[in-house]
Amino acid sequence: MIDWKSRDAVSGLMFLAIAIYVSVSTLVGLDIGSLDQMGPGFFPLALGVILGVIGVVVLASVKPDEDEMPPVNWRAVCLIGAAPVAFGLTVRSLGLVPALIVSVALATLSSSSIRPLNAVLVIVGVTVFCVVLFKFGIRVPYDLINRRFLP
Amino acid sequence: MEIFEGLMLGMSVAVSPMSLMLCLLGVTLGTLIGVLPGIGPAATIAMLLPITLTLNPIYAMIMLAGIYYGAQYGGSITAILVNLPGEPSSAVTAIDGYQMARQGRAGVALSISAIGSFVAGTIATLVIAVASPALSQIALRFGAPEFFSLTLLGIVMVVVLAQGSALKGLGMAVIGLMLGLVGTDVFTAQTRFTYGINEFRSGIDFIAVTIGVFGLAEIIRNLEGNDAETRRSHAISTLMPTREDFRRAIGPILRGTGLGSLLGVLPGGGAFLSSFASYAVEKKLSKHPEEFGKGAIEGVAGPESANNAGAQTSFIPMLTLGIPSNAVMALMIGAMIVQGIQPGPRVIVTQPELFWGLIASMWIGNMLLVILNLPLVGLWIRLLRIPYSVLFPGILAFCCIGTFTANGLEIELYVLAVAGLAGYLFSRLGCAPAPFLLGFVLGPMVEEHFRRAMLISQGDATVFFTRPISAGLMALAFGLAATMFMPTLLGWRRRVFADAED
Repeated sequence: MIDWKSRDAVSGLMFLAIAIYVSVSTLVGLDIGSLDQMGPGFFPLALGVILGVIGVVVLASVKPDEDEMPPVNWRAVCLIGAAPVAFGLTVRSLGLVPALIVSVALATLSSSSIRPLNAVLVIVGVTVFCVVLFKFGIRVPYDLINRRFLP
Repeated sequence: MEIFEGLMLGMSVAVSPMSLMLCLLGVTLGTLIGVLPGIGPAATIAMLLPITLTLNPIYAMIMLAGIYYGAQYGGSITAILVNLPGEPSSAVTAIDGYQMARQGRAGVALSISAIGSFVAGTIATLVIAVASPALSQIALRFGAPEFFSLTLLGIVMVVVLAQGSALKGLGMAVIGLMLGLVGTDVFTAQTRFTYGINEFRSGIDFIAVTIGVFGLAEIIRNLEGNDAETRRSHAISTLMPTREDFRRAIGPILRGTGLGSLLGVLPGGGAFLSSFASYAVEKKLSKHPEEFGKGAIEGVAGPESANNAGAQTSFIPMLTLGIPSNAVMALMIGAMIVQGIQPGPRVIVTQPELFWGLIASMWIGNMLLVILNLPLVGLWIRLLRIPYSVLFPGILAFCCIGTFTANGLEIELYVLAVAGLAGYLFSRLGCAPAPFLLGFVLGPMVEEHFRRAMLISQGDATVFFTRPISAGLMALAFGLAATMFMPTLLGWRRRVFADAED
């Protein structure tokens, strides 16, 4: 009986899911062609089939996990995942400095041990360091603060 | 003499003030990240790639290479002083190096590892200088079928030799190849898997994906534990090894260099495998095997030389064939492509300054590391006390700003976020990220060579097996793939990695 919660089983299912998705969307949307006249879909379909086979073999040889992993830190997953998105949403509309402050602040929130005062120091320090390096060192052509949004 | 002339040309490039400065910057940064917890050379090089785009390609490569081998030095510092290998390749050094530190001989262990690394780096640089031109001569005669077979062999080797499950590694390589499909098909100009997003027409950006999978994912993984802990280090009394230490270390250093130079060329082997192999060899050859694990100097000298030699010679397939042997080399290939240099056997002809300059700078960089690191070791130890909770917000800011400045597109930050979460998922599932990155970088090349080979042979797939060089490469690839599933080799692999993790 397969332990469906084991790492191997989940990996196998992930491989299968990706393989089916790529193969089906290739068959639907792209011209496959033949070996001597390959269409844009030939290679994706081949990869899809190969990955599917690998997925099945992985599922057939599932071994139970040997060691326990530490629990997932969901707070870190969400906040670290959100930080680049926040950076992307703000860097043009508000400017480089606000984008840095927002994304670094999100990052510090994901730490369970940092004290508020230290967090502020880290945010200020990192922002200043990045501005000096990128704006004055490498001279990236982006506004520090977008003036149109200033009162 | 061609090689001599090449080295002279390389030296003239490598001793220019700008080269020296960037080489110094690279090795210093490399040591720094080797010492600091939770950030490896792959993530660092990915983060710094955008910055190096503003530099001349030669300088960019010199600096990025410096980060890579500098990290090997830095990793051994933490392995010896706090029993925490900064890099996987230093895991073996920690066994006897930390015991030496506990006996008050930390300084001696550090010196021997630095001297061994320098000797290994010097010899390995010569190996690169001699082997690379010959190898690219052969590779210049390669056609599309040979290149396809070669890339296939490279991928198989990385999968076989990489850590973790080989089968899952293979799956990851295929997923990487699939991600490389996104964009415009070069043969028919039709877009594939772009979902109407204009920015994806030229492919998903390599920088955003790598920073995500290696940088962001690493941060999330490190936050699983307690990020507030700081580590205590052993004090250093004398740096000077005794005459007896030298006598015992010289053999392991030379043998380690040989082993490392050889294994480093193999894709996937590189620094990690060679340091382990060297430890095993020294233990077997020693007259006092019982001393191993209790502070034997041979157990530091051999693996440290081996991992540095391996790190150096892993440049050979990258420079001569355009085939990366590990994640860092995949990044170097990416850096070359972004800089507008087509990697492959032609690099030595079209870019002699880059080729020889890089080789010469590696030797200079190794020398800088010895000169700098022994006196500065106190400073590095102090850096060890920086808690991760202060460090990672800075790393994250660097990831974001680096990704954005590469092309100035917001969408790449969203790619970064997705890649980071995917990379974390992969690591939770025990799926190695290195084959994925390799597949992603090689993807477009693999498809192009395959399709061109099929066009030339008019759809005859036996072309890969009827041309002698291609047939040989294919036989190797299939042979390796077959042995991968043989129980003896599986047992050997498991034993190697289990021992190394002790």
